[in-house]
Amino acid sequence: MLKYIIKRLALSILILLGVSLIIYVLIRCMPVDFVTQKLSSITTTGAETSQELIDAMMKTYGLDTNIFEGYVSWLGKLLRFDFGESFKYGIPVIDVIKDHMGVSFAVALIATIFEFLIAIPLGVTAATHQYSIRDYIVTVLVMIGISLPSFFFGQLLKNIFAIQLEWFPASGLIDASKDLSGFALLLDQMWHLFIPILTVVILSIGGRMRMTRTNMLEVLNSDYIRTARAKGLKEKVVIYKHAFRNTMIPLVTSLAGLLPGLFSGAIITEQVFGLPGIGNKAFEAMLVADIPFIMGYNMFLALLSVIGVLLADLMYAVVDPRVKLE
Amino acid sequence: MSQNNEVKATKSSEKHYLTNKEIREIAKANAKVMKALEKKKYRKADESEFVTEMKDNRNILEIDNLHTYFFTDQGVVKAVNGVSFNIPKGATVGIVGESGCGKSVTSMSVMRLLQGPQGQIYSGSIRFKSYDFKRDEHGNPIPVFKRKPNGKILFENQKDKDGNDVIGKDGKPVRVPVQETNESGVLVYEMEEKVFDIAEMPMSEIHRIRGRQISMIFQEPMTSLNPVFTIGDQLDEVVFIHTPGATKEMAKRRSLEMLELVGIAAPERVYNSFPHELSGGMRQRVMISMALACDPRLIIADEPTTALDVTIQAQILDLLRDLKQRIDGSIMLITHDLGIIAEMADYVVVMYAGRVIEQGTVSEIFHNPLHPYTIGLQKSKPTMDSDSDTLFNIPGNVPNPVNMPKHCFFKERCSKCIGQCSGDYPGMVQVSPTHYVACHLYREEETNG
Amino acid sequence: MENKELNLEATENEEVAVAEKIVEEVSHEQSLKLMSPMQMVIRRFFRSKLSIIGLIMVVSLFLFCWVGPLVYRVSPTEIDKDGKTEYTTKWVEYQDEDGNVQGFYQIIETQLTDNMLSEPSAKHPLGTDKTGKDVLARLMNGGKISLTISFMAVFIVTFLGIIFGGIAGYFGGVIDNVIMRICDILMCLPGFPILLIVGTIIDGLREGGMSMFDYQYKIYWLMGFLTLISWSGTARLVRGQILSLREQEYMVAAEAMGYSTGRKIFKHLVPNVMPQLIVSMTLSLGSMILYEASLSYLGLGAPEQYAAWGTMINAAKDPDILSNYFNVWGPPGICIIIAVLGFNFIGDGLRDALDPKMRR
Repeated sequence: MLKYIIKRLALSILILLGVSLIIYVLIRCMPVDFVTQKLSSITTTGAETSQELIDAMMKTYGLDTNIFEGYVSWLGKLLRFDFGESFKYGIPVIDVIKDHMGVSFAVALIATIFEFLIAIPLGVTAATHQYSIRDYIVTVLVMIGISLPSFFFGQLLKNIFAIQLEWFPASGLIDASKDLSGFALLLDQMWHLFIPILTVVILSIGGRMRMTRTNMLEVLNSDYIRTARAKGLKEKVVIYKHAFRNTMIPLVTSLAGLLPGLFSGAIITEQVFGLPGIGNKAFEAMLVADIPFIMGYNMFLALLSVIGVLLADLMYAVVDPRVKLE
Repeated sequence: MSQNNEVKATKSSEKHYLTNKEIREIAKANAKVMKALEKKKYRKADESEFVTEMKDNRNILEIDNLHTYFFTDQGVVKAVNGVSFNIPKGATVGIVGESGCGKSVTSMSVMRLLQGPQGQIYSGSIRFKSYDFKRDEHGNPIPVFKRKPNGKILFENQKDKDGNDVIGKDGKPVRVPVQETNESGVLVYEMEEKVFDIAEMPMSEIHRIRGRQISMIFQEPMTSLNPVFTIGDQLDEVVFIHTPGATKEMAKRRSLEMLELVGIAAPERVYNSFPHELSGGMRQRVMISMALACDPRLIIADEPTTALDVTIQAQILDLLRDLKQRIDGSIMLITHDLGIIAEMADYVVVMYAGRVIEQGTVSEIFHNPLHPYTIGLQKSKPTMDSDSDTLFNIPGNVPNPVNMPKHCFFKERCSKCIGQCSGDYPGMVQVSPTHYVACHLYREEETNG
Repeated sequence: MENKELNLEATENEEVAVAEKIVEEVSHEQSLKLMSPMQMVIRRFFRSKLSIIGLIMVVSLFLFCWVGPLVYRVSPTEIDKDGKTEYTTKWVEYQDEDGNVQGFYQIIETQLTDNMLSEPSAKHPLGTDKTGKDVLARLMNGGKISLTISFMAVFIVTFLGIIFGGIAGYFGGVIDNVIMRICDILMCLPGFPILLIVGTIIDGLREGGMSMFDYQYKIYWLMGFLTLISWSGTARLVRGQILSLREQEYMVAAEAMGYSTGRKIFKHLVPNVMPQLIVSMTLSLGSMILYEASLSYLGLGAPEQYAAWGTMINAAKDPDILSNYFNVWGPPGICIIIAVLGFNFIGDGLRDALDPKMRR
C-alpha cells in the first residue's frame, strides 16, 4: 500500500514536471515585444514607464534567458514555494489565489452537494423503471442539461430572475448600497450566489444522472442481483443495499476527480455573474499576460488534478474490496 | 383488429425481412400484453387469489401447462410452451435438454426471476406446497411456548437488558411465557402447510416463497455472489430475513454451521472473506450453503457444476446428494449432462424447444428411451465401449423460436418420421404409470394394438 | 376505434384476453428471414424516437446554415445604412414662478446613420445587432463556422486518438508506457487556461505582423491546439479495446496466418473499435460545439464580423442588450442547444443500437 502510494507520488511529480514544462514553453512562446508592451501597460498605471523596471522584471521571471535556463530558475524558486508576484495585482500569486478562492470554492462545493443529492436518486429511479415514462422524462431532461451552454443558460437565468423579475441581484457578490456585517453579510452573499449555483447545478446534474443510470442498469442485470432476489430479499433491499452499494463504486471514485473543479473556479459562470472568484481573476490575468500568475494558477490546477487522480485510485481501493493497490 | 389483418396479409407472401411497420405493430401489441401482465404482477391481491390445492398430495411442486414468453421486437419467443411436470416430495427430478430448450426459463418462472417487462409468465400454474409460519390476524407469526410435563405453559420472570427482573405496577416481577427454541437456538413458531399458485402470486408476496421455501443454486458461482459484501454478510442476510427474531449471533452461528455442512474446512476464515478471495468450487459451496440456510423444501440447481472442473464437479454433486437426504427436501436439477442425471435423479424430464417431450423414472428414460430425440441424446453421449470412431449427432437445428411450426418441433431432424408427423403437435402418450412421451409413433402403437 | 374504447373500459382480465388474441395473431407469422447485424443496428437506431428527433434537429440545422443563405440573400457583414430614429427621454427640472421645483420628460430625437438594434421586422426577421448587421444572416454564417470547426476538431482528435492508442495498445511495452504517460500529462493540463494562453500567443504573433494569425483564423488555431491536447481520451479508449481484443482467438488466428502488423491493426482491430468510436465521436461533437462557443463567448473567437454563435451571445454581456434585446443573443443560444442536443440524441441512439446487451 505504502509502496504503491510512493510509486504513484513519484509518477505524479513526473506528470507535474511535464505539465509545468508545457505551460512554461507556451508562455515563453509569447513574443517578447508583446510581453514588454503588456508589461508596460500594466505597470504604468500612473507611474512613468521605465525600461529598467521592465528589465528588472524580465530578469526576475527569467525571461531574459533562454527557455531551458528560465525553466530551471522558475523551478528552483518553486521549490522554495516562491510563485512570484502577480504583474496585474501587484501582490504575491499565492495571496491572489488565497483571496479569491473562497467564493469559487463555496459555489462549487454547494453545487456539487446538490448535484449528487438530486442526480443520484433520479438516476436510480430511471434505472429501476427502465423504458417507463419516468425513464424517458429523466433521459430527455438529462440530455437537455448536458446540451445547455453555460454562458447562455446563465445569461437566461440572470435575465429572467435578476433583471425581469428582480428577485435576485444580477451580479457581484456584495451589495455596495448596504452596510452589512457578520451573519447578515453572509446571508446577503448567499443571496447573490443563488443563481450562479443554480446554473452550475442544473448544468451538472445531467451527466451525473446519466452515469448513475448506466451503472445502476449494469449492476441490476448482474448475476448477484438475481441471487439476492432468489434469496427472498424485498425489492427495496435488493436495490438500495445490494445494487446501490455496487453503483456507488464509480460514483465515489468520480468524487475525487471533482477536486480540481472545486478550487479552480468556473471561468464562464464567474464571467456571466461578475463574481470575484479565482476563475474570473485568472481570466483577467491571462488576457494581459500576467506570467507569474498564469504559471502559478495553472500549476495549482495541475497539482489538484494529480492529487485528484491519486485520490480516485485510493478511494477505489476503499470502496471496492476487489481492488488491491500493488 | 384491422391492423393485424394487414400484418397477416404481408406475411403470407414470400420470405422477407420484418418491415419497420411490422416491427412497430409487434412492439405495439407486445407493449399492450406486457403492460397488462406487469400490472397483474404488481397488483395487490388477497391471499385467497393464489391459494389452491395440489392435484396429488405426494407432490411438492406441480407445474401445469406453463407458458413463459419473451416479448421481443422480432416477435413473441415462446421459451416455455405448455410445460407440465411434477416434483414428488423427497425426489430429485432432472431436467435435460440442449441449450435454449427452456430448462432455465422454467426454473426462473418457478422463482419468478424472469427479467421483466420482456419475460413474462403468460399462462399456466405452478402449484407449490409451502410450509410456513402460521400467522395471526395481524400477520404476526404465532409462537410455540414451552410446556411443563403436565401440559401447562411455562412462565418465567421477564428480564430487562441488564438481566434484572422487570417489576410490574403491582410490585411483583412480570411473568411471561417462555418460547420454545430448537437445537440451534432459533425461536419456534407454529407452522402450517399451504398450497400457493406461484404463477398467480403478486411480486409483493413472492418473498414468502423465495429463499425460504424454494432456493436456487446458479450456474455461475464466479459472478453470483455480490463482490462488495463478505460471505458472512451475504449468508447472515438469508437467516435474518427468514427467521423472525433472529439476532446477530444466532445468524452467525447458523451461517458457520451451514459453511461447515457444505464441507468448508475453515468456516471462520471463509465467513470473513470476500467472494473474489475464494475459488470457483468454494464459491459454489457457499452458494449451496446459502441455498440451504433456511431448510428449503425445494432446491433448484441450475447447472450447478457446468462452470466447475471435473473433480470439483464430483464433490459438489456428492454434497448435493448428501444434503438432500439430510434436509429431506426435493431437488430440481437442471443440466444438459446425462451422466449427472443418471447419477443423481429419480425422475427425468426431457425438454425440447420449450416443451416436455418425454418424462419418466431414470431407469425408464435410460433403458427404454422412446422419443427419437431422447434416443439421439443418449447416442450422442461419448462412451468407451462404442465401436464407431465418430460421435453421433442429431442433424439440423432447433426451429426459429419466433415462429414455431404447427407440427412436431422435432420433425425436421427426426429419422423416424411418419406421415402423421405433418399433422398437429402430438399429445402426451402414457406408456407406463410413470412414463410419458409426446410422439406420434407411440400413439399409433396405442391405437393399433 | 371501437376497439380502443372497449379496451379502455375493459377490466384487467378482459384486457389480458384481448392481448392474448393479439399475441396469437402476431405469433402466427411464418417464413421470416433474419436480419444482418448492420440492418439490426439501423433498425434499432430508427426505432428510437429520440434518435430520429436528433437526426431531424441536426439535418435541419445543416440545411439552415448551408442552404439558408441561398434563399435568404443578406450579407452577414453588411451594415444596414437605412438609418434609424432613436428616441431617448430625459427628466428636466425647472423652477416655476412660485419657486417650486417642477419637472417634465423631454424626448430627444436622434438620427442615426446605421439601423442598429432594430426590432424584428419583415426586412430583418430577427432584427439587427448593435452594429446594424442582420442577425439572421449572421446566425447562418455563424453556424457554418461553428459546425465546420467542430467537425474538423472531432475528426482530428479521433484520428490522433486512433493512431496513438492503436500504437500503444498494439506494441505495448516501452512505447505503450511513454504514450500513456503523455496521456497522463495531457489529462492534467487545465484546458481552458491553456487555450487562453495560446490565445494570447496568437494575439502576440499577429501583432508581430504574421497574417496567418489574423483575427478570422484565431478560432481555427485555437481549436487546432485543442485537438492536440484532447486526444488522450480517445487514445485510452482505443488502447483499452485493442488490449482486450488482442487476447481474442481471431487475433491469434490472424497471427497464425502471418498477416503484417499494419494489416492486423487496421483491418482487424480498428473495425472492432469503430462502433464505440463512432458513438464517442458523435457525443464529442456536441461538446466541441460547446467548447468552441465558450471560447468565442470569452472573446477568444472570431471578431464580430466573422462571428460564430458563441461570439453573438457575447453581446449579452452588455446589460442593456441582455435585458432588452433577446432577439440578438437568444437565437444563437437556441441554435447551440439544438446542435448539441441533436448530436447527443444521435450519439445516445447509436450507443443503444450498437450495444448488444440492449437488444430486445
